[in-house]
Amino acid sequence: MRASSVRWIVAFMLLSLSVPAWAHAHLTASTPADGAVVRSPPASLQLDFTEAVQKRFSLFVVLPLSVPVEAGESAHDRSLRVHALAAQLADTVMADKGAVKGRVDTGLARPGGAAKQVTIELARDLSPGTYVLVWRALSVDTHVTHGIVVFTVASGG
Amino acid sequence: MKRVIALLVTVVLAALVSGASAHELKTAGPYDVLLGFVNEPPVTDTLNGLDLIVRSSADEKPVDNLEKSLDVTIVAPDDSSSRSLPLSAVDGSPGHYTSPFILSQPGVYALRVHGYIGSTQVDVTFRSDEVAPASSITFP
Repeated sequence: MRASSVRWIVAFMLLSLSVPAWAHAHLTASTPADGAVVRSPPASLQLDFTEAVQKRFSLFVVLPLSVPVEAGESAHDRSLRVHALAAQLADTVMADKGAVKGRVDTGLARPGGAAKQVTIELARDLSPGTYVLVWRALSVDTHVTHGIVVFTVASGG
Repeated sequence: MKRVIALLVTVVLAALVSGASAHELKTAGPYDVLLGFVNEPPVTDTLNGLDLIVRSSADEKPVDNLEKSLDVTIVAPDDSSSRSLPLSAVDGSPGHYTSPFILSQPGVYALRVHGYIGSTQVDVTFRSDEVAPASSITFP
């Protein structure tokens, strides 16, 4: 076997093993943070990603989340349940490609281009309750990532 | 050189197919929950991890965004200790979650999955394959 062929085979193998390490736009932080309870309605949601995302080809949708009351439920179990309901809602949003009713976001603060930080403007004076951000981001390296962020606006804020 | 190439091919194929075997399937309401280790058969003292797949039983549609709606706890074979495993989604593989660990004790581990999928409450416990001591494959 020729040396050049061997080099190609080895290069292909190394490439195969390295696939999971390619850069993706992962969410590192959000404001409000996931699971946060805020006293006053936020005017916007800020997201920080590990890689720049193509904003025009990404999706950011904020919706109210209906969470039935469960008597005697611990805070931790409630958090698990709320995130499960949010995941279910996210599934619907993705299936409809964001064309859902009841959105409380009003779009991106600076649409277009690519950035590691994304700010989503929210409707004024959100009512007390739980909200979920559903996001799907296309990174500049063309990989798609997705996730949810849940936050609650406390009553009496 | 042919031996070296054959060895490399074997390593790559083993890496690509690992995780596809010896997973246990349990049903939670309308969902299938499959759980196993990333590297099987498992041995102690090597990097391994949880391999969790959640999908709809009816149409095998993967269920995403469950990282914070499911708690997974691993219990040592001698019941001496347990640990909560934070889940992260596997990139490019919908409905697929993982959590890395290094198992230090041979034997059978229990893995409890507790929480919610949609509005379905989940509480299922799996028993792992036998984890062999690293000495069984260590050479020299």
